[in-house]
Amino acid sequence: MSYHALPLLNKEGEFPVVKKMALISLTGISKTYQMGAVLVDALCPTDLSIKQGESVSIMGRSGSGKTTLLHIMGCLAPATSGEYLLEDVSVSSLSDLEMAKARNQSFGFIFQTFHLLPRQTAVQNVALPLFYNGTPKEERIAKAQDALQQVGLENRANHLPAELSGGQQQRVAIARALVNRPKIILADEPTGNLDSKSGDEIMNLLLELNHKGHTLILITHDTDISKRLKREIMIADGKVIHDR
Amino acid sequence: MIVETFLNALSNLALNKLRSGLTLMGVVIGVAAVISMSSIVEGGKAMTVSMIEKLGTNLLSVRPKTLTEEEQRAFTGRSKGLRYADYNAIVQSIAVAHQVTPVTSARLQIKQGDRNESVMVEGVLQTYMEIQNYEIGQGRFLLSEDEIGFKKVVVLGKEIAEKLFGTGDPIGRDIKLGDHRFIVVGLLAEKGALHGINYDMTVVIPATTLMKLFAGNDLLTSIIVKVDERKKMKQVSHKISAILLQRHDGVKDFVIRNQDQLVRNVEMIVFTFQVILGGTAALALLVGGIGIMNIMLVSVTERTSEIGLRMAVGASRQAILTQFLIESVALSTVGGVIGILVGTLLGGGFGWLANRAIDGWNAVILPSSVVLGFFFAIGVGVAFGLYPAYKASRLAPAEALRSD
Repeated sequence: MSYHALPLLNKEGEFPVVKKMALISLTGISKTYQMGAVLVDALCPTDLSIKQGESVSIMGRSGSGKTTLLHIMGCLAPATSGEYLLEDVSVSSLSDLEMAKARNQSFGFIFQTFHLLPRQTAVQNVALPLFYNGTPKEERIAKAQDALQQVGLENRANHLPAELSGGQQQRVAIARALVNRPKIILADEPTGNLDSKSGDEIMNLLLELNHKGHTLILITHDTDISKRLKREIMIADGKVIHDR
Repeated sequence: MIVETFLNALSNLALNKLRSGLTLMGVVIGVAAVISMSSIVEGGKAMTVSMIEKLGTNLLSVRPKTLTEEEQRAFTGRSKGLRYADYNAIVQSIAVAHQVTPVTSARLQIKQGDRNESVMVEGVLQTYMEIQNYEIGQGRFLLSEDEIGFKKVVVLGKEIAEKLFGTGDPIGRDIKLGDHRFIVVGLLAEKGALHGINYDMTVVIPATTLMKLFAGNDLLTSIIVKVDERKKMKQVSHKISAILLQRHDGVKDFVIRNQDQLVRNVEMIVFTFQVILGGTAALALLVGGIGIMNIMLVSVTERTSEIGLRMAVGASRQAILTQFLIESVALSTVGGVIGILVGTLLGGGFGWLANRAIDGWNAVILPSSVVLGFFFAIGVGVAFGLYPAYKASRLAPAEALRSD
């Protein structure tokens, strides 16, 4: 079985409505780490289903397993057991190349520490995902410019990350997450390193993207932020203790 | 995509100039050593071969062999040594295409006016000029009627002619060889010196004249044969050996030396040098490769989070492997190119020094050694970059991302 991303937008520029089908479906997913001689259960067997277009916050203390859950959903780490269906395709059956393709096509990642390449300009950073799906160079730059425009940074395209404020850096990271038009945006405490004003702006941007149809899954420990999302999942000690 | 990755790798190297430079050093030294040293060895070879060719190519020379006391006792009365009659026998039994000359010699005082030199005078035939690659500068060389008529004529090398006559024209003038008066009939064109023999000090007279006037016997210093084709050298050599053995009653009191063999000896020596150089260069490149591997491992560790991010946005393991492999190849390629430049310059410098020591010894940089050096450098980059690149590609994306 191989992974094929479904066409994201229809002719009218809207997401095709397939609300019935779960975009992400986890059944009995768990993660166990080996720490020396000790086995640590980072995530107890968990069932979870997320539909297209949802906005989900994952709350929990540090070490609760929320980042582990996000990494498994984002195909960044394999689960120890259980079944993960991404658009009805079993992730555990994917080859390395198909996993890479899934990360490239289906997900846009946003991190607390931005993870921009320091020696590349904003537009080069944004274009990076396009490099890995073989987009020709000129098209890459054009699409990256478009994405920068969406986050309001079109006039900062040739700046290095160090020349941008934290909020601007996170916008660049969001543009990078958007550039391949992924269905799902995974954000790991996207406002954690920002002051409240830029944090607010970033949240507004992410919610706007959710309204446009991108599924938003966001880790936070800020209840004010989680209140702005439709669904809230609370994790403690590797277990989902609350799902609203 | 590979080209783009390569260019990115180069700009990465440029960001860390000191570190990259130090890492490159091993490869630079290895490649530069191969190119500069082999250029000197090649230059030496070219010089030696050209010297040998200057002596005349396809030459066989037959010389009397000094016998041990034991051999002398055993062979007494059986052979009379290398004589003019042996020359005649050789000429009659080998194909006309090959040229032969006897050589007799005597050390004589040569006088012109109040100028006086002691020289080795050679008695030869007219074929000698072509056999020894001489060219006539003025007048003529010896003719067969000089030989038949025991004529007292002499042909002089350029330098000895200048010593005797200064800038004046010597043709038709006479000189004294020992107690006899000779007429100068020709001057040889300049030929230079080789192996301690100055060819411009040559004095030649007909062989018959020398035997009659000065030697008093028909013993020869040597018989020189110019074989018309290189591949016939062995065959002609065997034939001459057979004729002489028969004439000398089975006594092998002569040796036949082969110019071709000399060239082959030189090539053998050069090959030995090249093997030694190759080994040294391989060691230098090994050290260079270890340097590259070391720095690439450091780079992978330093850039773990970058690798995680690249994987998160869609880089497959293979793409990461390729990226790091290309970076190490870029390192070694730059090292190789610098090595070629440095090696060429060094080779030129060594060549200049060698030329001061021995005239005619220049650096010869073979395109093949440049190409070889270049591809070896690339090979080192691949061989020593493979493990670090593999290590990078095996990182788990989730853990790599956390390594900030």
